[in-house]
Amino acid sequence: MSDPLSNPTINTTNVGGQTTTQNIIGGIGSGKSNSVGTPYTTPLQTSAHTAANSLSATNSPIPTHHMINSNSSNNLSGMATPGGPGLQQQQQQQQQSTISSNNLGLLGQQSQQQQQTILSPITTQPKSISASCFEFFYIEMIDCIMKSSSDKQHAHKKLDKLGFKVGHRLVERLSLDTALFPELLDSVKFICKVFWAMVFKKTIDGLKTNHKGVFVLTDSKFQWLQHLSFDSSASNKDCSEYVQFTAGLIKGAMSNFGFKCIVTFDIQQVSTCVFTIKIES
Amino acid sequence: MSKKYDKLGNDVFNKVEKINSELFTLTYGALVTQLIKDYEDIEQVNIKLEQMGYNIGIRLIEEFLAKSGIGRCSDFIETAEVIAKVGFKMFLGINAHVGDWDADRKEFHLTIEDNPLIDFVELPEQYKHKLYYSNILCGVIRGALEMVQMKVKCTFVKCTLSDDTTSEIKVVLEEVLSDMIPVGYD
Amino acid sequence: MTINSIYILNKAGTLIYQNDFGNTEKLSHNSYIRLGSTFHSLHAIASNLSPVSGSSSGIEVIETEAFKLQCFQTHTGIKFYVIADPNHQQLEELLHGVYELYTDYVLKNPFYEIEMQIRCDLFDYKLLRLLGVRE
Repeated sequence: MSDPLSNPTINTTNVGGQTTTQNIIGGIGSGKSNSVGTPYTTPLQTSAHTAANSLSATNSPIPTHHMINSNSSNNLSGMATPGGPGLQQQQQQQQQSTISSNNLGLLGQQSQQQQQTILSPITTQPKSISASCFEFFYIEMIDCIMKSSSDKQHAHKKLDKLGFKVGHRLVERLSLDTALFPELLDSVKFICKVFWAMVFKKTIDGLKTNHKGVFVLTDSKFQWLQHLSFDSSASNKDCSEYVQFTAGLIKGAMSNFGFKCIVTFDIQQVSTCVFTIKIES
Repeated sequence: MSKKYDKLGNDVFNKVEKINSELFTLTYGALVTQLIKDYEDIEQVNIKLEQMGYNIGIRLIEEFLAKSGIGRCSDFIETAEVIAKVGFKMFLGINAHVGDWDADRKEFHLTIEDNPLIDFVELPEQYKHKLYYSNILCGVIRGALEMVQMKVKCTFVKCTLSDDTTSEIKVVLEEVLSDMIPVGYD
Repeated sequence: MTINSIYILNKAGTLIYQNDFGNTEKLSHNSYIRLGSTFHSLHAIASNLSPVSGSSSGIEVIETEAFKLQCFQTHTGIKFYVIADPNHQQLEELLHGVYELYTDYVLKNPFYEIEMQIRCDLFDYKLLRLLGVRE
């Protein structure tokens, strides 16, 4: 698994003509947000059950230590706490390290520590499946949606919606053990690092912003286009249906952080995908 | 035999590229919800899921053969073991068990444990015993086996989502497509 | 160690992929198709000619002074075969490598229709890379 800590190279070019540039991902200690470190938790799941209409979600299989330890009123705190005092100490250590730093750079570290915790026998291991399994399914799902829609536009709308649902719920599960990010930039960084790592096993390669609610995320090796190619003589080389779902994923994730946005994307040569997030006020 | 395939299954699963199963689980859930909305008739949803599985199976079998390096099975009993111990392990990271053979050795039950598709899922009452939520798996088995010249019928006979104690797929061998067997094979 | 050509035949014996490498002389498209089906038939005849019934796997290798042909048939009935320098030693591994590329870059390419002609530029590219490493 790609390390969520590793800082991708960031272009700090401006979008939209602003004069100041800011290195967005990775500059540890440069931010002044306190949102990440603070162990308060607003239950993100409140909307979980409404989001799932006919299939309802149950609690996470991964025990969330931060939750249990904090003064959260989350419904998970009612679960039996696995482990004994040793674990408590471990949790405290984790929290301290989280509090002492307040940059998103640490967010990755936090999730890495959490992984180590997960590997210990007292907790449930996160399940893995083969990547091909998902890939074969994904191809068939897109095919199914395309065939069941009246036209391409309709299909894209459906895929976007599907992605939205999945993104919304994925973030719920991912952020169970981190605090809510009231700040916009933190939320976008979360998507670039933790969220992307979970879905694509890599982080976003470049993030740019105009500081006015527009973010441009570049993935220069977009996973879901890795095996896709055309006849070199083909005239129509549109494969946007294989990316639309991801735009939905981002939108769903952002909405769970409380930001309504529009996500557009552009597929460039050699499987580079550029996603543009525009926050709607 | 079972032990040998247990090991092969584990070895192959360790070798392949893996992802966190939650993305798969949630995406599958969203798709099933969408199909229910589109089709209304639950039986149609079951059929659609099975068909999708079939389309996956006919492609997935090649990856299975290429990456597991498995040889040709001598009989259907061996095939069953390979599906349960290598196939399920390699793609879903889980174990399945073969049991309840009939006298002719042409029919068996596959018991699935820890099916990642049904994580976090609760079926609303009105769908219980009607919707075969994981029916896509039946299609995958049918598609994959057809490519190695076995025509089978797969059905869910039990499902934990419908309050059964286990999830079981019944697999029935209907025909060996002998004229399709590549030359040079028995 | 030169690799001259790679052929892929589907279950029915129809040529679905052919590519020449190095300075191999090019033939017409129809000639390749004919060569492919001829090999398919020869393969079937060879397996029937075996004195011990049902024990022959058909043609695995043809060795001549000028070239060596190595064939690999999958359990699903797809045939991959390669024509190479007579002294080439690792053709079996090579064919397995081609099979893996086929599962990754052909079957996982949603635009590929199963059993049909393979026209995927990524597959071509990866194949070249595979051969580059081996040669």
